[in-house]
Amino acid sequence: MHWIDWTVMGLTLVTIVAYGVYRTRDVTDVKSYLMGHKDLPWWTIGLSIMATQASAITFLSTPGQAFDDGMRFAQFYFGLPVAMVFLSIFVLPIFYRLNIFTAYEYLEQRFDLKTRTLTASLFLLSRGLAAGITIYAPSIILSSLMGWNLTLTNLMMGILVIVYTVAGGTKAVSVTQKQQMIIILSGMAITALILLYKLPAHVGLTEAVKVAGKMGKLNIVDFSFDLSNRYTFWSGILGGTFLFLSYFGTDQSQVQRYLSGRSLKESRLGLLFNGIIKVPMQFMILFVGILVYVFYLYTPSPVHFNRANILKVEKSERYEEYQALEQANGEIQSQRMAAADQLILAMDAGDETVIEQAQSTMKTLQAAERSSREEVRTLIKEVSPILDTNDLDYVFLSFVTDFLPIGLVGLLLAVIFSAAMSSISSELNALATTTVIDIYRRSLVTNRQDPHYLKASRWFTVGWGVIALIFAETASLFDNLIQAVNIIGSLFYGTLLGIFLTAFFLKKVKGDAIFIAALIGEASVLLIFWLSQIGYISIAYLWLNLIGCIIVMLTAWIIAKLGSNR
Amino acid sequence: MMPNSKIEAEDNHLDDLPPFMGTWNRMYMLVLVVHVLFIAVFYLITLRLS
Repeated sequence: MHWIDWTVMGLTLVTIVAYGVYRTRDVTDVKSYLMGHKDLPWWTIGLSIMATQASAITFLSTPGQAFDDGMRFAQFYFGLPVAMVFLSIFVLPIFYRLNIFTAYEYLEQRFDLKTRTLTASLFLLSRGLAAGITIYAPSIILSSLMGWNLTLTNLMMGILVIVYTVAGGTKAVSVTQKQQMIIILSGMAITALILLYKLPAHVGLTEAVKVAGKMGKLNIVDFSFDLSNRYTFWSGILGGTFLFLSYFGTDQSQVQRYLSGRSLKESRLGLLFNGIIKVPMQFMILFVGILVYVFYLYTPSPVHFNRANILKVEKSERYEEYQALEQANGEIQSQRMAAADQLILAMDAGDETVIEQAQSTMKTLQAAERSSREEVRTLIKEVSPILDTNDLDYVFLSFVTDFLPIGLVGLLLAVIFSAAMSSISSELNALATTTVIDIYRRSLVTNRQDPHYLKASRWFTVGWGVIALIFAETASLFDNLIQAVNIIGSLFYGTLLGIFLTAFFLKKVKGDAIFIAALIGEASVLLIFWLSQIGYISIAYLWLNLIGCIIVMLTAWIIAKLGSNR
Repeated sequence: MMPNSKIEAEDNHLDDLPPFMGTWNRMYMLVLVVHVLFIAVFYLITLRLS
């Protein structure tokens, strides 16, 4: 990497960390450390919520997903605005009235201590795992593409975050997230403009959109009702609403963001701002992936985007086979480039017959190219079975490093780091807060003064940071871990949401009933997931949120009706 | 237990009016209507271009 890129990236990241530490030098008690000074305006809250949700993998994977599968992933977010409105109406006023630090405190007031502890523990388990992956997932991609040492990349990311999160707590997280989101959105916008600039002279934005459409990449909305299809309108609007209700309503990493607002009004506006902006933002990120797809229709692309995998093949006895596959793929790409030009000409002329012929030729060539990429993946797997051959996460960063000018590569790497750091800082802050407030101060060390808990909060932040780093270091030992941890959220969120919705709406249900219902609900979700894994049933993981929530609420209601209602 | 009137007064104090649209219900409607419009545009893109 050029020294100018190193400078741009280093200066950007160090400035953010220094700014976070400087702005929070007045944090001197546990309340301001864990809740900020409760003085944040709505736009800071909104950007902070968005930055917490959008991790580095969002900006690395999403364009790759659009490149391969089109834009249907946008439907995943269709339930989010509905969830924001629901939380603004029903949940925020309760949290504000009770003046709580964590969402789980409310559960003790509504039910009992064991329900609070169970729910806080479920959160610590799922979020603790996720924090390691939030570091590992971008690190493995950056280290593979840039040739960096994985451990050093993990450490660089983790230590930068720990410094300002330990120093300034919640406020440091929120104020740095504002800067990070500005860098992220600017970086993505600049990349989109450069992509348009780098397209051939006869391909403008209109032509790019039309070609992508003809190749089936603009398949944004699908109204078919299919439980096994991961991304449809229905899975997004039903399963997605429950997922986002759980995530934003019960996950402390988000609850802590909007509870640090200066008033209920500011917090509500922050949530609603997220509800309006998030879907178009995801659309734009996916659209960058579509532009990368169109760009590679006119420019030769690697047969496999993960360079580290190719290096392994180059050093093996199968290198000649790989070269033959690469050459065959190159020939297919040349034919496809000619067909893409033909398609543009036909669309300009408005000749439907020629358009259909060119479209058909391109689809045939695309299928051949896909098949040739699959053969390379098989070859890589045969050379080394432990290698992950899914290279879609590498598509976007590969474009950045190969085609962006010097200086902008550094900026885009700062974007990836910023996105990772914004999510990790929220997670560490929320993990420390829940540990101190719901476990340590509530049940273990109950009668110490404020300075003790401030010190404990800082040490727990360091502790969770170290655990996340250790987990990130060992993550490569496990196969398909990233996918597994993505699913873990859905394994727990349904139960968590069921507990909270019961607390809000089923007033007759008491502590014992909800505790038993939560255990039954969690066991049921795990059973359904297992049956789905062994192929006995077929249910996409997004639906587990809805199923878990319904089982918990229904079981709690039945137990309460049967009279076991202490 | 806090008397109901006190809770309501506290809620009113917490619940300032939004900066525009007049009431919170109208703000929620705005968010949902904008969302429906986005989905409608996405559906049109799917129908016309995909």
